[in-house]
Parts: sequence; structure tokens; C-alpha cells
Amino acid sequence: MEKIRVKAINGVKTVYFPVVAILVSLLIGSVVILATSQTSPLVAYESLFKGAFGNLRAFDDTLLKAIPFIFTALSFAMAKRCGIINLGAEGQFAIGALMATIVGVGMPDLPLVPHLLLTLVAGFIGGAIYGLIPALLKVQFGASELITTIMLNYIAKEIISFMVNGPIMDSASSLYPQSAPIPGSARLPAMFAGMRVHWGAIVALLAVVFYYVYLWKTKSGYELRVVGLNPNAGHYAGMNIKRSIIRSMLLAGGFAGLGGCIEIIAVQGRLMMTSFTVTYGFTGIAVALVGGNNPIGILISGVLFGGLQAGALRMQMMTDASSSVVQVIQALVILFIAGRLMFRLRTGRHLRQRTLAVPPVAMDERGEKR
Amino acid sequence: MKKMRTMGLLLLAAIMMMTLIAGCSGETATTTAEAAPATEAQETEAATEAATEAEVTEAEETEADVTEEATEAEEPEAEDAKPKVALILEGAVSDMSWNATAYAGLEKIEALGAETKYVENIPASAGADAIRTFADEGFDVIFMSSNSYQDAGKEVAAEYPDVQFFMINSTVTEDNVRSFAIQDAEQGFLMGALAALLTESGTVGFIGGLPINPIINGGKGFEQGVKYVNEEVEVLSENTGNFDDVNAAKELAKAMIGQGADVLSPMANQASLGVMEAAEEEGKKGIGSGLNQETLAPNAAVVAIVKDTSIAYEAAYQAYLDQDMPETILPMGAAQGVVYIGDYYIDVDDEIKAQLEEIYEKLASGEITIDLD
Repeated sequence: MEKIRVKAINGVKTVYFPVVAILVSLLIGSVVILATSQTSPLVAYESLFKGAFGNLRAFDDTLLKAIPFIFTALSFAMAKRCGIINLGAEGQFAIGALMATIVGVGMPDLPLVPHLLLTLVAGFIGGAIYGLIPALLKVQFGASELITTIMLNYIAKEIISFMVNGPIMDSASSLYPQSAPIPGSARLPAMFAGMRVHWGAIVALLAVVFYYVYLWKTKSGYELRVVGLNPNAGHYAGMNIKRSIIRSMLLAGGFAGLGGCIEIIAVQGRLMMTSFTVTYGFTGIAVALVGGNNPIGILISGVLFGGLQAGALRMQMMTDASSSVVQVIQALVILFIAGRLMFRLRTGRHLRQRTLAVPPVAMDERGEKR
Repeated sequence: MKKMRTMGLLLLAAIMMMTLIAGCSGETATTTAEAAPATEAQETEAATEAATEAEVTEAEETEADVTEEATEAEEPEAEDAKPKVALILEGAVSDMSWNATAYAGLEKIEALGAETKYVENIPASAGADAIRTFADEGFDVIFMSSNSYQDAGKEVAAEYPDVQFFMINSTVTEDNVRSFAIQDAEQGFLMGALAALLTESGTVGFIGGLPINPIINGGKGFEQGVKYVNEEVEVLSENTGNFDDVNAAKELAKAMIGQGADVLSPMANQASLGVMEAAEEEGKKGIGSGLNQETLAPNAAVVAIVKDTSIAYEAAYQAYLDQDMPETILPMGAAQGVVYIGDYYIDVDDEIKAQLEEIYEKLASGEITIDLD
């Protein structure tokens, strides 16, 4: 019994920050709603909640929206575990989507299974290569990945714009900047008739399992985590820090690319200029932060953010509260989790820890050769 | 810690299984729920919070909101209330152009006794979601304001056979889908004709938004309108590639002015405003594509060649009420009063006005036809 009690206490401790962050964000979000619309925040949130979890159809939509977020969250988390801040999931996601579109549209005569697999692999590789660029820049030249990943997002956006306006534009469709539709042999079908959640959900689950097994059950995953926790210790123990960084970014990019690929071949059906108006990559960061870079946490918070996304549209449509409120809430969640110390219960022990805990935190930014 | 993670992973697997099974059938969910009692402790916090929230609001708003469940369960359309009409817009209703007139159309529909809702700034990739949300909320008529939604609309309309869909500028006609073709080319033709009548430098410019068919047709109309009046006038025609980048349109307009254009005409929704601003700043003339654009360019704006789609919306809704829907794509142009010449904002030679009026009447009567191939 005592064991269970301890576990329960630990469990509460783990979810304390995310839950507080979300509640406070909702509270501040309600002030925003009050200030910008005629709607009572309660009515707006009710509409949001109904649109996310109100009935089977809404929940179906929530799961559908959660899938890409889980992938981009894994992308951020995988890099973070190695001490890299990958802000480039947005671009890796887009490049994965692009590669999937090229393979999906470009080889229409293949039978279903190989075509689908090839498309998924293309998406993964596309994202992985795009993740490799900042990793190489970091290990070779010491370029901060904070800058390079963000900048690469813009490049990815322009690449997509160029491609859908030129090389892969569907000339049959009214010159609208979009690719041809993905043929049936490369489409991921829905899991159940009448529902929209597709087999990408299983791929996402497998990706989460892989994330867990790789990081906690394999030697190279262990090295990666050690490098993330303390590069100096890793180096001292004879670990190859550069290799770990490259590995983590390859996987991080791959996860995001796979997410982009699945979003195109399962949901959107073709690549468009407006395919990435939802900021999949940045929402993924929020998902990873709320989930504490923990596999289960990512799944749960992925569904939560999927719900926010699904409910936001309904909220905007049924009340006059803008769906931008949801973006405000997401941003606040990131802010509060990043600044989680402000919610720390002020006991003497915590205060003491806080003063002691300063030096090791700065470790991330230091060069890995030290 | 590690043990906890493994246990958590198992719990999560249980949750996922639960949701999957719940998706298949309601009954089996109860058995699996027992397998994961510990998760409840973690989830209760969020769940109760949400539940109380929902309860409170439901108690509070008795008459306020839509509350479909209530009406459906207790009195299935007993009120036989107003038809519910929804409008999905790609841009903002404040664009003084395409979306503004669409919204005006919705207001006219509301005046006809419908309950209306609209949603702005929905990109093509989110179109399907928006359509589904409205259809699930029990809307009877859904208007899609742009042919960007054509694919999504076609796909989703098949899922909701009881809902009537109208697509603007689309080519889709199904049992529950009707399209109407706004004659952008006629608007362009009038703009071009007026530009050719006004120009002193002999060069005029057309600035389109996203190169979709309606805008491309508008550009073709513009060119033919110019040539109809004066073969000698040179036409500059470009598309910015989107409808909301006001600055890109402004830069493009300034570049055209640099090439000698002295009359500019935009057809780019929100971005049109940038063209009018450029004309104002450079002391050139601009032909508006919607009402109120002169507020940004009091000296440059000559007149608005209005493409008042609100008339088309109203006509479509009236046809729905009368259950008298034509099978073909409805043309909406000068003949229907959708495209017309607005009030002149600045002094213009009466002769020019008369000439333009004559061209307008020829367009409306079908004497002038525009070649779109």
C-alpha cells in the first residue's frame, strides 16, 4: 500500500506543473475572450469543449488532429533529450510532406502496400535530411541550432511555395497552387468506416513506443540521454557527442517528416500553399513541454492539444470568440511551463533547491567539447 | 522512476485501447475501464473541471445559445424555426471587396428570415473542417465563398445529402450542390475599358491576387476591355500570388507605375487596398474593385467597378426557399446586376462616363462577349 501511495504522490507531482499551467492559461484566455468578444468565457469554453470531446464525432476529430502534434512533439522531445532545442519541426514537417507528395504523386502505378510504405519512408527521410542540416552545422561549425532550425523553417516554406507553384503544380485544377491529388494507392485509409481517424494513429503510437524503447532500452539511446543531461560527463565516459547529436536530429527530423507525410496522405490529400496554416511544429513544442518529453505525457498532451485544435474552430463558428484565443492559450502554456518556477510551492526545501540548482542548468548552451 | 514509466506506459496502452474500443461500440468500454482504475485519479482533475464548466454553462444559458441537443431531443424542429444559413470565407469580411460583398449577401439572407453564421479566414486546407462543423451543427444551407474550397466542398457535400451547398465560382453541380459563376471577366472588361479611356501615358496595369480561374478570367477581361477601347494602349498584368499581402500588391503597383502605367486596377480582395494606396501615393489613378476603397485613396480612386456578389447570394437563397434551383451553373454578371459601375468619386469627363455606360449596357445585353480561351 505504501508503495502505491508513493507512486500516487509522484504521479501528482509529475502532472502538477502541466495542469496548473493549463488552468492558469485557460483563466487568462477567458480574460482575453471577455475583452475581445461579447461571449461569456464559459459559453466559449463549453463550445470549445463540445467541439473537442462533446460526442464521438468530436472526439474522432480530436484524435485526428492529435496525430500530427504527437509527431512534432516527438521531434522536439527527441532532440531535447540530447540537449538540442529543435525549433525546426515546422520545416521538417513540411519537407516530409513534400517528399511524400512527390513519391505519392510521382509513382501512381505501384500497388498499394509498397507504394504506401515507400511514401512513408520518403516522408521520414525528407524530414530526417532536413533535420540533419542544423545538426551538421552545429557539430562542424558550432552554429546554434536555435537560429538555424528557425531559419530553415522559412526556407522550407519557400521551397513548398516554389514547388506547388511550379514543378509539382496540378495543371488540371484551375491553376490553383496545389499538387495533384495523392492517388489511392498511397493514401492512408480511415481505421473505421464513418470515422475520420486513420491508421496514422497506429503509426503515431508505434513512433511513441519507438521513442521509449530507443531512449531507455538501447545503448545509443542511453548515450544520447547522457549527452543531453551532461555533455561533459558523456565525453569523459568516452561517448561520441557529435554522433549522438546527429542521431538525435536525424530521428527528430524523421519524426516530424513522418508526421507531415501522414498529414498529407491521410488527411489533406494533396499538398497546398495553405497546407501548413496550422503551426504543427510550434504546437508540437507545446505538446512536448506539457508532456514533459515523456512518451506517455506526449500522447496525453497530444490528445489535449488536438482537442484544443478541433474545438477552436467550433468555438469560433458558434460563438463570436475568435479561434486565436486558442493560440493565446497555447502560447501561455509554453510560457508557464518554461517559467514553471513561478508555480513552485514555496516550501523551505524548494527554495533551497532553487538557489543550489543554478549552475548545471546553463549546460545546454555550452560547447560539447568541454 | 523507471517502474513508474513502464506502469504508465501500460496504463496508456489501456487508455488507447479503451478509446479505440469505445469507437467501435459503447458497451465493451466498461470492461476495459476497470482494468485502468488508476488513470482515473489522474484524469479526474481535468475531467471534473470540464464537467462542472459544462454544467454551469448549461444551467446559465437557457435561452441564449444554440444547444442542438436540447432542441433535437425534446422537440424535433417543433419550432420549425428559421432556416440556418452558414457562410465560409477565405478572407476577412472587412476587405472592402470579395469577402465584404459576400458578408453583405449573408446579411440580405438574414433579412429574408434566416438564422446566419459565418466564419472568416479559413484557408483551403481547413475548408473541409469548417464545412463539417457547420453541417454537424444542423445548418441547412452552406455557402462557400471561394472556388478554393471546390475539392473539399465536393467531397464533404456527399456526406451530408440533406444540406444544400452553394459554391461561388465553382464548376461543381451535384444533387445538393449548386454553383454560380460570378462574371469576373465582365468586371475586368469594364475596368480595362475605363482604364483605356482614362490613360494619358498609354500604359495601364491590372493586379490580380492568387492566380485562380476567376482572377485569370478577370485579367483576360481587363486586357480585352482595354483593346476594345484602344488597341494602342499597353497592358501590364500581374498576379501577386495571394489575396491578403497588401504590401506585395502595393510594391507591384509601384513597379507598374515605374514602367509608365498611370491607371491601375486591382482584383485581389484584401490586397486590392495596396494598389489603391500606391496609386494615391504616386498621384496616379486607381479603379476600385469594391465599395469603400476610395476611403484609402480619396484622390486616386476614380470609381468602383463593383462585383456585388451579395445579389448572387440573395438570389441563390431565394431559389433555395422557392425550391426552384436551376440545374446548370448560374451566371452572375452585368445582366443580373451583380457587376455594375458605382458612383464616381472624382470628376470625370461626361463623355468618358457615357462611353463606359454604353459598354456596360452592351455587356449586359450580350452584345459584347469576352473570349476566355
